[in-house]
Amino acid sequence: MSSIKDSVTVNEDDANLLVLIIDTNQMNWTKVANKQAMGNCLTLQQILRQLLAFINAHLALKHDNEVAVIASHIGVSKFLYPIPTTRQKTRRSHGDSDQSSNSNMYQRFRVIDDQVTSNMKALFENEALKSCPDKVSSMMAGALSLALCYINRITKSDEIGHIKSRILIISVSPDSPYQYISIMNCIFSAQKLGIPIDVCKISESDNSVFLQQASHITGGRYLRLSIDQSRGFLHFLMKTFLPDRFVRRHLCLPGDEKVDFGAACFCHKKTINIGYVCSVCLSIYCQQLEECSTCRSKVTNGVKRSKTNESL
Amino acid sequence: MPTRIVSHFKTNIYDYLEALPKTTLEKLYEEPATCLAIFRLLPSIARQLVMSLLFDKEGISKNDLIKWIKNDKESLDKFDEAFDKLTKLQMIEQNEKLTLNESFRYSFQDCLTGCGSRQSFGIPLEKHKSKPLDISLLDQYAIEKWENILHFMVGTEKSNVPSASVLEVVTKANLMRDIGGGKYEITNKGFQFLLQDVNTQVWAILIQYLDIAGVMLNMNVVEVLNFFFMLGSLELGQDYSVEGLTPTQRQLLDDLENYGLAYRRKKGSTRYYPTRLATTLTSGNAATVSSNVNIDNTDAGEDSATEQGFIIIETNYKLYAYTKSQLQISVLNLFSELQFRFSNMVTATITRDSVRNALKKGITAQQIISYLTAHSHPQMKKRPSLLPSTVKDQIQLWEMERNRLVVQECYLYKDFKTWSDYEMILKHATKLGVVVWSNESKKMFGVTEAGHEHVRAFIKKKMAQRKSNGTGGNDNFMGNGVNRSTPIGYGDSSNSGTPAR
Amino acid sequence: MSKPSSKSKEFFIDIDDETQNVNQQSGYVWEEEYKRSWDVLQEDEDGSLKRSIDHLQNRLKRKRLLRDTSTIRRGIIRNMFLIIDLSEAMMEKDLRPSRLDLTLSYAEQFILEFFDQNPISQLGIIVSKGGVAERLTGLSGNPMDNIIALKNKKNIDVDGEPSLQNSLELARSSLIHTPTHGSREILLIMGSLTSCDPGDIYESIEDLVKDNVRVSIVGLSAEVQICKYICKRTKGTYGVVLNEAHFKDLLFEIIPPPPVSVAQSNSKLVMMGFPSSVNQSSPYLCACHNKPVTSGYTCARCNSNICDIPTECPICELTLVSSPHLARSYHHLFPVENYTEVPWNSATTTHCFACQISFPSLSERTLPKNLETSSGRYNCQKCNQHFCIDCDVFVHEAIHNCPGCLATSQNNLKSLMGQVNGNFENYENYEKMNLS
Repeated sequence: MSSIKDSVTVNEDDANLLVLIIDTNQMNWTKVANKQAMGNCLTLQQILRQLLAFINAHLALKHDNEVAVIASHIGVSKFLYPIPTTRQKTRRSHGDSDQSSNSNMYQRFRVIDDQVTSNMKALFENEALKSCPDKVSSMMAGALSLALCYINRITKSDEIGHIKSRILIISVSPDSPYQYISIMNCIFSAQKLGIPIDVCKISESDNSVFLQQASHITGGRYLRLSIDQSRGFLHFLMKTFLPDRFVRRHLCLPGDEKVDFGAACFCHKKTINIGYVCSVCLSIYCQQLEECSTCRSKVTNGVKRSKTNESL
Repeated sequence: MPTRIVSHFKTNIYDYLEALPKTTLEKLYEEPATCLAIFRLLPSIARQLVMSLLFDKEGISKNDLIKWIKNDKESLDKFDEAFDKLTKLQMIEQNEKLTLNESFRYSFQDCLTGCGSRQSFGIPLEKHKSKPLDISLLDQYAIEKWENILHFMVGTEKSNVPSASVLEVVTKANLMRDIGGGKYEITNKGFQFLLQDVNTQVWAILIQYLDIAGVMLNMNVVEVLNFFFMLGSLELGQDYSVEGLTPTQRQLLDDLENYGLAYRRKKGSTRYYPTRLATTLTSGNAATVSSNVNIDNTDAGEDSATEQGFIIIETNYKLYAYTKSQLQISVLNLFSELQFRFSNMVTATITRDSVRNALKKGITAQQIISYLTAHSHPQMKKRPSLLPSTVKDQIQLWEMERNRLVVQECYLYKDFKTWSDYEMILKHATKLGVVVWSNESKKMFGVTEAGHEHVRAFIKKKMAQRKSNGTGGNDNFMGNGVNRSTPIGYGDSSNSGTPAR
Repeated sequence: MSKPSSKSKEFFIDIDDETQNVNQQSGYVWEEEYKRSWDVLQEDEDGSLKRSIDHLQNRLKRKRLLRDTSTIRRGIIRNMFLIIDLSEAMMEKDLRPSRLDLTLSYAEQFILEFFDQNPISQLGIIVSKGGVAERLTGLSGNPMDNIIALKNKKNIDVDGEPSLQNSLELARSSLIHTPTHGSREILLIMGSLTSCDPGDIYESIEDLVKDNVRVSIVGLSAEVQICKYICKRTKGTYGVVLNEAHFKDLLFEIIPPPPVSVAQSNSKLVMMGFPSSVNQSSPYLCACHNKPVTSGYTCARCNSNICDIPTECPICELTLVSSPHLARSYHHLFPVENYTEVPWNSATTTHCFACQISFPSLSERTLPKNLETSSGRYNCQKCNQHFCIDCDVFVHEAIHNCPGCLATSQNNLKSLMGQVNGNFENYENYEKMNLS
């Protein structure tokens, strides 16, 4: 099944909604920082500052561009912007900074940047989350589902078809296998709605297979940055992920390689070309078994359909 | 899906900016707010190019840049257009490599990151001093002032005469004509002006003001432009202090109050409130569209009746306008016949006569169509094509009717005695390229005014030749009519072809 | 691949049995109290109907959702025949523009949606007219073949009367050759009230039951006794359409995989191939259509060139799929539980958890005439988060994930799979998927 590459008509005049999913798993970011050469210190704070500049750049492109930011954290994923009004007002009255910075920055940039930073601070300080058992991966599936629901709401309330959305994921954690099915579900619904998912993965060697599939199936871009390359993080973002859906048609962007999805069998985890699929639970095996280990149903050898010898 | 008409006002400002000298542009680029506003005027590929070069100190060669664009005709054309615009605005500089203009680069970086100290986004008043104003009051004030000017142009009884400076701008922009005795009359251009959308109108006035300001009022054009662009980035309902403004800008503020772009509680007050007309200066038609999409739960702003679409057109040429605004009704009256007026609606019909009246006043069919499209009710936008094609085509046909005939003055040559004479003169005239029309069966042809003398001289020469050769002996070899050349209207059905004399 | 846009759904104000507090007697329909459709709409204080219409619309949205979501075995690999009646009764214009046109357009949408939800299934089309049945396309895994056949004008002439027995027999004869691990289904769209059969239809029905074929019928005119009998015997569904929107709903109800009884559900390990893709600079002929192509796949067993997957290799008949195709069907196996409506006394949240839209506040609690509106909040039992109605519909129809369960740490990770219970024990196997 080929991926849908913008079957929806995109005009130059459309406003763009960018939903940014940031992987805020501090453990993994510290690992990245530690792996760098001496003297370079790419911490989460610096990444955040560059991301804020990127968000401002996206908003600067058009007056009616919109943005939403979701943090995919350890054990939880939350909206960082926009947060509904009641909570917003209390945030604004706290320590609204001095006049000089207010007049040096476009008001809209300022409001969004402030909200994102303060909400993220609150997220990190939340003690309850520190007791979560799994600290390796982040809640990517939850963040993707939240993003899709939000996009669905915005698209429904926009009657003239004027807002076009896309999702950008900044990821640094490995894939969590428990989230495979949920992420695939999100990917298929994004494909149906025509929403491209771009992925920027910062990692020395591993590629995230789930996210690669996500960008391939939905027609987005996948870019893996090594730790050294991630010093130029903002530069990569501006060049690769800033162009909106209309401009992309006219540019040659990196990350377009075809990805090949081999299947791996459940019993030995090796890649296979021909396998046996359980008809009840669709799990893949490399050889005939008596009983499916996933759904515990007995395998009956019914009438074999093809008369050829099936041994390989 | 019909595209929105956004580009008109952009081209106006664009042309103005292109005409500025390089040093002025450099000065303009020192303010981040101006950079942001000009940036938003560019086409989308140009914006992308600027963004990718923004944090790049060393620059990139043009070949490398072209490799980034896809290799099909449409993309390359767009790239050329974008590159062209960027060079004209002096944003891109070509040394051995392409870089962004230095001052633009630094200011725009400041804009994105919030550093810098130019305070170019307006100084909002601190919380304890600020007295925010109700947005509906501001809207009302803006509409009142702006429509006053428009009412004055249309000539409804309601209007007060605007102040002298406004009148000056309006006359200089050739929108109205002074016919003496303190009275003014609207011109053709003025009619066209009325049909444009609000953003284009405001910018047309502002650009005219700029022209006057530079020459007559001795104002610093850079500061004026900076102030305009800063206004475009302010927030509605927030009050700003006049502290950071230069004297030029303070004077400008007084003038802008007359147009309804800013509001002050009393003259000389130290705080001012930008109105919706000001805050949507650089945002295109965002004021009309963003009210549909309510992203943050705060009210994105009420839309005044003049901003949203309110016209419904049926395929039987009937028009229904859901508006109470006197101004809009007068504008509709320009090209349609009003029939009934209800408390919230007006019905009208588009007829041949009404459209011809408009065409006679100098309004083009395209302007009528763009006006109807821009103000069409959201209900209409759900149809596959916004306006019914019957109505659209018919308005264009009525315009083409007036262009059916082209009038051209010429001299008619006729009554040639022999065929060879006719042919010889015709050949000569054709060689000179002055023949407008010829008819072989009637042995006539028409010659332009400019060519008439040459042809007459040629004929006289030929006649003299024949006389001296002694052939034929007939003096009037052309029969009567050789000197009877009269200017006639060619092809005009009201005049017949015979010479008048 | 287009999803039917929800904006084009027509809105019919149905009389729900819920609105009228009528005690249902087990009598005839005409004996019940007369239902007045105009009473359903009520004005509020300002005289506008908006709130009651919103209320009704919301109720309609949810009606579609409340389906069975227990985790039961389902037949994921499906073999289905779509039988279309091309008799003269289909030229009736009671469904706009005519029964036949509407059927064909809905059939096209049905085919696309069917292959979207069941990528490893096969579909064939049979038409019945003039007393005979004719096979338009055989069972194939490619939706385009079927759609092209439907669009071909020569194929859709109407004539005479349909033949139930002939069409069922024809379908059955093709279906018995399919392997037993897949489900065998027939969907019949019947516009005529009569049928012209050569023999005893009850014998054919018994044969169908013996061969485990499930027949579902969508009737366009009225309820016919024999159709009801067929569906009851073969454990299918029978529905008669009320209007265009209802027709579409009935058709689309067949799309999710049907539950499979335990006796049938001993699993088979079906041999499938996972081909790798091939890109060549010079074109070569594909084995399925004999057309020159430059990119495609090679069958894992016989190395023949295939254009597109999922399909069956034409040479060695191996089913060829890729892992995303299998992943598309997972949500049938692990459906999201339905959300329950939150009553006004527990309506404490202000915003939807997933899309941040604000909920109606307590002041909007009642319509005039003291009918209670719903609080607009829907609760997930597992994570106790409140969602708005649009998110509810979206979650259950599109994403099949509950954002609340996935985005909160209250559930530990193992119970993320708490959507699964009982039947699937060794869920850890799924963690080994595809991590190469």
